[in-house]
Amino acid sequence: MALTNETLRALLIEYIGTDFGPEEIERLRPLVERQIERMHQLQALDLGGDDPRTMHYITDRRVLK
Amino acid sequence: MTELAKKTIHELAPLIERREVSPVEVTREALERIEVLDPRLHGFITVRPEQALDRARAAEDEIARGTYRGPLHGVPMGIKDNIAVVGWPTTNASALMTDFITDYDATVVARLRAAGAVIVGKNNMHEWAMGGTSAPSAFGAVHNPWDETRVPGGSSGGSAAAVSASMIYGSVGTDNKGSIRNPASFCGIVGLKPTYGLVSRFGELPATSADTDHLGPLAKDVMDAALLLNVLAGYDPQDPTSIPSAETDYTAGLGRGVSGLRVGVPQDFFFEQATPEVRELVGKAIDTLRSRGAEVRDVRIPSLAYMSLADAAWVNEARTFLLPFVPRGPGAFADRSIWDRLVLGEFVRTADTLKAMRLRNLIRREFLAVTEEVDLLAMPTNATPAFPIEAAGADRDRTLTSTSVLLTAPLNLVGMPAISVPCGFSADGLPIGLMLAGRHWEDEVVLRAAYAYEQAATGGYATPPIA
Repeated sequence: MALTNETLRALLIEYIGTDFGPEEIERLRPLVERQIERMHQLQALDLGGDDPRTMHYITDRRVLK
Repeated sequence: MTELAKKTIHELAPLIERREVSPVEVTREALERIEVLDPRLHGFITVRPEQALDRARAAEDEIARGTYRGPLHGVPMGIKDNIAVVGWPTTNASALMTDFITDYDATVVARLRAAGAVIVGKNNMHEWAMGGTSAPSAFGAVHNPWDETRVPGGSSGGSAAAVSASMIYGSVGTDNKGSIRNPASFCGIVGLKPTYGLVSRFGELPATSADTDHLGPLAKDVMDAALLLNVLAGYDPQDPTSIPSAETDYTAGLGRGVSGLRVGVPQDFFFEQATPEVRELVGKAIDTLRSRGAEVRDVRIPSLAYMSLADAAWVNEARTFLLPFVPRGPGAFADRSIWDRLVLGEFVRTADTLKAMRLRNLIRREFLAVTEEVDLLAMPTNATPAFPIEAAGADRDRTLTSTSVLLTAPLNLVGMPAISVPCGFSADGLPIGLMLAGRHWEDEVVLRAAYAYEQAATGGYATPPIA
């Protein structure tokens, strides 16, 4: 689904609470689209499966000491 | 420039200790140099001459009474302006923070004061420490002392410019993606990101990402960086990420050389991003380490290919502390791309952040595996020499600011100690930096290798044209 200026404007009102002008929305739209695309790339990465027993979300460097 | 201003801390300190040079004289000269040079370089946001001179007089009296606190006693220093100094503004180079004054010192400032250092001012920086150029600042773009049309790097750009131009003898910066090492490299000085947890972050404002941010010294040479680390390092119960460590004299082993040390040269990412000129100079620097007895070998860290995707977690962290300012729009920021970045943070989901953290862990595991085979890693600090301020000013898509910390950021994910030491000049006369990184808690090995290289190749601090 393509991100329209009107959708982005509505999302920013919802997220940030400010109604930004059409020029700012037009400038932001490709940046937001690129960000979403990069997140798709990130999600597509195979980092060894999603089995919770092999996940290591938390980095605690104290264990390295 | 006078001989006094040109000196390093380790050259100046014995003169102060023997009372051949007065801290008041040194401080007065530093303040005079700031008055003359800083209108051109913009290395400072706040300078407090009277308070600095009061401290210098106190140091002089104390030394005259026979109490010498050590090599920083009576030495003029700067502090990056995202680190709290009691009673002084901490602005983050933002117009939104000009009246933000703390009633306490950051731990690193308290440690410097206890060592007798004279804090003369707060250093300019890339706004909110969120960029690698220091061109966007509410207090004016910082200029590079080696070429005033170029950026000094960032975000600790004012610290690097001020030390390089001998306005101060050292500064404390912060490094979340390379903000100490990158400006050190661009300005031809030494910058050290210590092991994560070694130097307290209490009083760094705002407290940025929990597990990639570091405080550390910017200095004229490696010996000075070690002297500063001696004072800055140590457990701090006020910082929940501070880790107890043994008291260490980081200067003690500097002269031991690199003979027998195994130096890994990453074949992924670092050299392929660098310009041919940078590759050549850093390659020669690695040859110097080899000629001094280091065993140099190739290593691989393949997951660095995905480094740019690990950025998602940083995007989200930045959002949390600047969110209140977002409704004011991009005009509230000297660097409008920071506002863009905050808005983009709204489009990073929790699942994306968690995946980015898993990717960080993968990169980290590969670094740790490599450091079981080698003692050190050697690579370029920056992909390019310093670029024009004019280009940085038009950098709304953050291409240049991202490039400037491209090679340093992986070491922030890992938390390993990493240093940038000058390794020559581009054809345009701009400094290039060699980055050396070591195992966690082996900061002394990193310093020792950097010192061995410096002594063999460059001889230490080089004076920029403006000085």
